[in-house]
Amino acid sequence: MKDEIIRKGMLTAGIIFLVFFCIGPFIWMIVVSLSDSPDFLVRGQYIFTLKNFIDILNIRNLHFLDYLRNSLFVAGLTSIFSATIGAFAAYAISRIDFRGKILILVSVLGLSMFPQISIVGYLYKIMSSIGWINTYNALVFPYIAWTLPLSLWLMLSYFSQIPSEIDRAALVDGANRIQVFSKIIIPIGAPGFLSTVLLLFMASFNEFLFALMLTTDFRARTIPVGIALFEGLHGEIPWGYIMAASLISSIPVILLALFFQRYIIRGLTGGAVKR
Amino acid sequence: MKPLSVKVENLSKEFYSLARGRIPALENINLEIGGGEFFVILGPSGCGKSTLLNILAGLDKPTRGDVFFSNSPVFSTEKRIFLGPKQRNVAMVFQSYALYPHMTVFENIAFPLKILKMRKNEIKKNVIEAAKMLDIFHLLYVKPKELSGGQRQRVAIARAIVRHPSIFLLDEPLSNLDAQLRVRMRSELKNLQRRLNVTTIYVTHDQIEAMTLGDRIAILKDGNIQQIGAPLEVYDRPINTFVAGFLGTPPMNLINANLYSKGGKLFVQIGDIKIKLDWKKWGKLIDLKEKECIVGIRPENIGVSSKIEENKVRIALIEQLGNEALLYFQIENQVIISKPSGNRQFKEGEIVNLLIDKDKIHIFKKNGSRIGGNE
Amino acid sequence: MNKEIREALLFILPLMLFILFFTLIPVIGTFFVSLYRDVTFLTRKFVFLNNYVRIFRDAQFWKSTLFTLLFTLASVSIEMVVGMIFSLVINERIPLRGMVRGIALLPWAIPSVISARVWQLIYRYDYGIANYIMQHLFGVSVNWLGSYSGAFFSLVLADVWRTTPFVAIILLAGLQTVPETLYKQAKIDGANIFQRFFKITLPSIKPIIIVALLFRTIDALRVFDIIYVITGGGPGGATNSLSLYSYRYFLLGDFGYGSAISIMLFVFAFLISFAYIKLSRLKEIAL
Repeated sequence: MKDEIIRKGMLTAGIIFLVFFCIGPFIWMIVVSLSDSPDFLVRGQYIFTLKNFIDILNIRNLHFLDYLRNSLFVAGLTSIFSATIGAFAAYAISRIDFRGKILILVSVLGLSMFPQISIVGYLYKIMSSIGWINTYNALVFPYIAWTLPLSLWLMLSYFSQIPSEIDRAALVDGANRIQVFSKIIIPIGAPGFLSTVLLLFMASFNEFLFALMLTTDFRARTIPVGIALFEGLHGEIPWGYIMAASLISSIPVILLALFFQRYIIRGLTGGAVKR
Repeated sequence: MKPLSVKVENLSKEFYSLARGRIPALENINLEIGGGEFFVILGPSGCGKSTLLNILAGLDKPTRGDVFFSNSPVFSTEKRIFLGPKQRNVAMVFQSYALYPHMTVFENIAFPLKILKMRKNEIKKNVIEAAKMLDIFHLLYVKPKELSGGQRQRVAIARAIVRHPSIFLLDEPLSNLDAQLRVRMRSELKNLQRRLNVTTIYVTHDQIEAMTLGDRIAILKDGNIQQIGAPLEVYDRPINTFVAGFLGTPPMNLINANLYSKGGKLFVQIGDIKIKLDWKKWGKLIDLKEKECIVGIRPENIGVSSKIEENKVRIALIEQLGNEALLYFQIENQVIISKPSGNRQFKEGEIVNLLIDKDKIHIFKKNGSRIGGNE
Repeated sequence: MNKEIREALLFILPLMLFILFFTLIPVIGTFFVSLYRDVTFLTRKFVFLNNYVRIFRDAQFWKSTLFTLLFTLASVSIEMVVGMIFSLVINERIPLRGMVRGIALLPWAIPSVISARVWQLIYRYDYGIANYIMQHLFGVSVNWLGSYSGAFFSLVLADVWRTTPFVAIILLAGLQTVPETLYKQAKIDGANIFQRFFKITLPSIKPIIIVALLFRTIDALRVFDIIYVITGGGPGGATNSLSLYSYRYFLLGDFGYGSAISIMLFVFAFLISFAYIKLSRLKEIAL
């Protein structure tokens, strides 16, 4: 069974490689965040401290909590609205036969191919002129539009797995379209909806370019912008603070990834991954 | 509710697909179904029967035509009327039962009543009544995924009857059940329909179901109605070779043959087999210019005897069915099946004489349409 | 008749409105802006294709294009290989499989900016861990972020780290569609593990690989986040991706030129996708 031994060997090597590859940088992040100074490798001395965490949570001027609040709010609103709007549209496209269906799908797909940079320039002008720069609106509305193609694609793949005979049975039972949607399709498709919300939340939480251009200060800025532009109080890049902030900001998504990996994977693959 | 009659006039339906263009699904369908009748639409897969049912339910729109329920239109192209399923008060049972997986049996059956905004205790009364009628009272609080196929089907039927619909549509409801269950459910369905006196339109590809359940049957092929009539009528006087071959197990023998007359007598010949036709009966119908025809005769109307006379053949194969046997003969590349009555045991390779019941012969033109026979 | 369309419209309308106002109109707007001299404090003037002529003469633009293309090529090819390895690993029935899958997702789950910052620190010349390891193993320090080749390598590695999980998951879905019986048959026919992989696994998931390649290519062409954070486009504009280059001009207030660059980026992405789909005959696979 030499073949089996090779296989087991490669599998073990693969697992080890995977785990170290993925976790390595995190370990570095944690170690630095708990260190008094980031150059401990060179100095040869590691001083354990919680100062970085305490500072970013307490020093108002660093605005860390503001960024966190903004991010959670914006990502939360975006994911729920986008998933819902996507679900509505996906229902119509998968169930109702109407002309222009393909056209809509193709154009939505096509529009999602545009690089964000091609959109954000003019978007900035629009937002400037209606005075939305640096407000939650400036982020939530574009985010919803930006995540809708993904939302639509995900909900479509879920809905297409619900046999249309169930719709027809409900219609014959006297329900109208909205009742079929709310009483039948959504309850059955709830896990799919959850997966979609999760993925959209993660996408919005992590988004950078729009937030960079459309917000200017802590009142609406999100975590990615905050961490990218993090300046210390004294000029030198405050790695300790940055790593601490990174760690805290990563915790929500890390928890989501670890506990909901099944839903996330299901979402990314449209339910194709079962085992 | 009083049972409604159904009339379909000149109904056609075409589908459009990106890949294959215009696909005709139904062509010029005309039907009249009486109130309380059990009407079966029979045909092979893809013949359009499910499409027709969906149109009757209001789930699909025809391309052209009119549909009336007791003389009031539910769909009319020219008057631009289209009633949706909700307004038609029909009930439907699907091949896959289409039970709502996230609801219990009770909630499934109650669903249409909830939509009608019936009062809670009224709903409960009706659901229990339907459940008892279908013998699933003990399953009311279970979810569909824990039920067997037969039980799911009863739930689907209960959901359909709980609204006291005026028309009952069934789309191959028995095809997912195993053979024994199917036989039982057939009689239960028939009894149920008689009790409720609902106009029932039943779609299937199984001709035994059609023969046993229908008051009248319509045979559908490639979107066209071939023949409508009571089961025995269609069985005994099929209008073409398709219908002739579709009904009956084993199917009717349809054999290419030649007509000729000799010495003032009329014969039809298959290989070495000659069958003399009664001139009185057949003379007017036969046009001897067309020498080739198709002879139809059911296996049960072909007997065999060991007394060798003019129509002798060799038994090529025997299939034992237990209570009877099927004998296969080969004549000039065509296979003829006989299902003789009686207890005589035969052996493969044996030479016997074919006894063809002349009264039961059907003759069809080469294109399949009926000339006459079995009158 | 019309009721159906009215119902459908009701369900689709919200989606259409959002995409219309916040995607389609900005795109069209950007396209029009690129035809103008649109710089803050200067009067706006219609200059038609002037910006594009300027682009053709702009050496930095072509340097950025080259960098973007090379970056995409390097990044995507490595991702596909590592992603394939990961997907094979997480496809197996190993103990704590859920945990391992969760771990595999982490690099992709966290904000790209955060992973960029961590890599930026890893690559830091004086006290980053990368040079710490290099010193101990080879006795040299590498100028990861200050030299062109160093920066290129650093960015590619950081991007690979971040996006491999995504590729792995997509390929995983493909792996699961291969019927177990195929492998059993191959084992009976005497194929060893490598032969099974190359002769059965790879051909079976070819469509998925093509789709993953397409998506990742388009994404890599648009890269912005990690480059902004780790090198800022340096050293000396050597690692400017086209997105970043365009952004620079927006920052300067030159919306006309910036928009034109972003339109060029889209054109490149479109041409590459088009060629890609034609070459791989994706249409046949989809239909």
